[in-house]
Amino acid sequence: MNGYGGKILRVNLTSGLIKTEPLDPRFAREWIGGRGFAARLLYDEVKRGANPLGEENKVIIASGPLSGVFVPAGAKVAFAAKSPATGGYGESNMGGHFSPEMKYAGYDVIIIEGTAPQPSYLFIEDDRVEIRSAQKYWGKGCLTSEKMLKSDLREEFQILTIGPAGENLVRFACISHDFGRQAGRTGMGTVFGSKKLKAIAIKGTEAIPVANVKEATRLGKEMFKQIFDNPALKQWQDYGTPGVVNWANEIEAFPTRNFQMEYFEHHKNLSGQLMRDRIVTSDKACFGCPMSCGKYSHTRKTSKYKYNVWVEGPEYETIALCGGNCALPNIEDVAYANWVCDELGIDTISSGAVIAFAMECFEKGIITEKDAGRKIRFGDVDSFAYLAKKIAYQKGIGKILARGTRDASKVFGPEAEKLAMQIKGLEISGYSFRNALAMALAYGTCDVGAHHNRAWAITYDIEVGRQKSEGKAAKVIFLQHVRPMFDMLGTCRLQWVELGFELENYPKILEAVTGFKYSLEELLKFSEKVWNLTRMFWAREIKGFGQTYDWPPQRFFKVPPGKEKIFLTREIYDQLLQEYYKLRGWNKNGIPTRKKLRELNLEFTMGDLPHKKIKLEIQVVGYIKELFPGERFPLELENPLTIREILKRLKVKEELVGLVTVNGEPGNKDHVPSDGDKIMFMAFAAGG
Amino acid sequence: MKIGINNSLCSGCRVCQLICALTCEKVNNPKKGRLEIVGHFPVPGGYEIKMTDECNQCGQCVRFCPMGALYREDEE
Repeated sequence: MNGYGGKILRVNLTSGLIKTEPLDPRFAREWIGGRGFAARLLYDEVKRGANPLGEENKVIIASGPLSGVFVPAGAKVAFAAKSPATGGYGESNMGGHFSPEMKYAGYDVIIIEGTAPQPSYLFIEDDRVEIRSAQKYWGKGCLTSEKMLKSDLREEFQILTIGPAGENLVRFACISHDFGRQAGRTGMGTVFGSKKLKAIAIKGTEAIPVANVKEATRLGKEMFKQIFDNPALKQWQDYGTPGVVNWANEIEAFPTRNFQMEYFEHHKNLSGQLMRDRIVTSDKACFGCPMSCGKYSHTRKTSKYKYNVWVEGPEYETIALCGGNCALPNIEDVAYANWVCDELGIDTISSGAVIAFAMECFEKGIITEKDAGRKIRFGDVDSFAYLAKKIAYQKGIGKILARGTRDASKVFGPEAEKLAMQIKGLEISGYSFRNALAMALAYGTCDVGAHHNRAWAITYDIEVGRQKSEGKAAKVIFLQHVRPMFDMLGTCRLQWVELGFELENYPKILEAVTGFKYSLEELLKFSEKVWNLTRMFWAREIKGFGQTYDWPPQRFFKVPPGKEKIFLTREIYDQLLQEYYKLRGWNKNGIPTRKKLRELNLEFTMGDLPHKKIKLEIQVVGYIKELFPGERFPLELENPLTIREILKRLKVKEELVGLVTVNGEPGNKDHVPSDGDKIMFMAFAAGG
Repeated sequence: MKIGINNSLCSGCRVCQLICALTCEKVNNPKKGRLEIVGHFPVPGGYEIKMTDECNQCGQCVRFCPMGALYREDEE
């Protein structure tokens, strides 16, 4: 099958059964690859209510049709599972060399099922597939075990490993590959750990069949040349993602001290330019990528710095979350923190966020020295490394922190809950958004929890004016459709984001490679389908799922110290969210409508629509109670409505109602209450 | 032409292997490329490019190496 490996590999770790199934061309035409395959297979194969750490969860590893062929950066692979971090749709996307290798071995998808009776790894060399003992690698760090596997097999094997954190079921454990690439987010390493799967080693030797080799090569050459001629390329090759550190501070979007602030006073010590001079030893690219944004670094032990490590990175996100957010004041400390996380096998984004959360809890007296086992403070790399190890081995306070900020904060109490910087249970990544309304919405509505790059909207905020809300919901939706297209194709989107590469390049080369003809609009429509499918996964898995899951923490509506005002308010956010739902064809609670599901051929998900009525408790205070059916009464709604619409239905003029509270918190009339909410209406002067 | 190698500039992207296999073997399979890339990780990092004896010095890899790790020696 042109452009594809042609097979699905299914491995059941419980029974030891290994099967290959042919890839159905109709399935490939409709779901394209990568994230499309992963989302659909996960929806079908993991049953409702599955325990993310149970035998019934599965990991879907999916490559795409442009992976491994002659296009820039055809290197991306998707990992999907029900997320132990969030309880919803879990997916993480990774570069490196694994995705092409799957195709050379003949596989578009690897499905991991069941739980191995003892620590195991999966060995794949073309058609030869074996589940082997991983006893000797178990307990070892990600980088160490990758090195061991390369020595035991051969250098040319492409390898995935997990570290102690994944083995110990830390909820934000990552999958590591190529000594520094990770599938970091949503706990994919945790699911490997729960299955006692330490590693996968793969090697393939076959060619990928291409529909029109001549045309594909011509187009590929054209694409490479466009990139070579781009004046912005050099900057990317030199600095990679850390090149934006200074910019993120200039626009005040840099996570600082657990998002208390958005500008870090030491940011110049963390910039890509300084990093290149001080610690970078070589460039490290994903397969087929001319941009080589990966940097390999070495920090030397000196009188000033304590640690001697080799590490890939740090990337911008690591610098933002481990650097600014934990207030580490220099690039050497960040590189060390990065290495600690990489070897233990924890996502640097969530780890930076969880550790910053712990640091702030300590500062505010919510966690004491006795709880933590030592003093914990912002800016101290030893505090960072200490907590990272506690987390990875689930020791002491690490046992609580290993659950992620949302669930850890519930243990520490309501004051701590205010400090948990997460949405849907996933820690917010490296762009603060008090003054970036599109970015706020992009984080809030992101399909895996708060992750920046499923729709990197902040540049649009800067471009059109950060305070403006007009057009932003539509832009976020557009970006949320472009990104899955790249993820389905199995290529990186940075050529488009950073070098202004035309999207029209992709349907053309896709046709030359696969023989399938698509228009760009059609590809983006498939993205919309994937976006709606994953939304339905959340609605299916989480009782009461809806708009409250799209809300950012209260901290982002508050003016940070040293600033006079911010643009994001609860009211503006609610309006943006409702506009977004409307444009998406979702109801007011953010659930896809039947009409939308039918339009996208997602009828098979309709049985999973929440059909429960929304029950509210209404209380009325003041003289206006005479206008309502009673002073206290229950109200049942078939569909979510705004407060304004509820008043209309009750035939009460909204201008007579002065104040609305929802569960005791001040609300506004555009708010859409959820099932079980207690709503109180008050007159303007309710004193009598 | 004669192809020169500067290992310290190699990013390990394997575009050279891809274009080599496409040019010389007409297949999309970097494993058929007439050069090899060997990584040295985690310590000290970096890559090593090894030309095989089959290389006919056609220079396509030089044209598409994004890092300048492969170059024409006669142009130096």
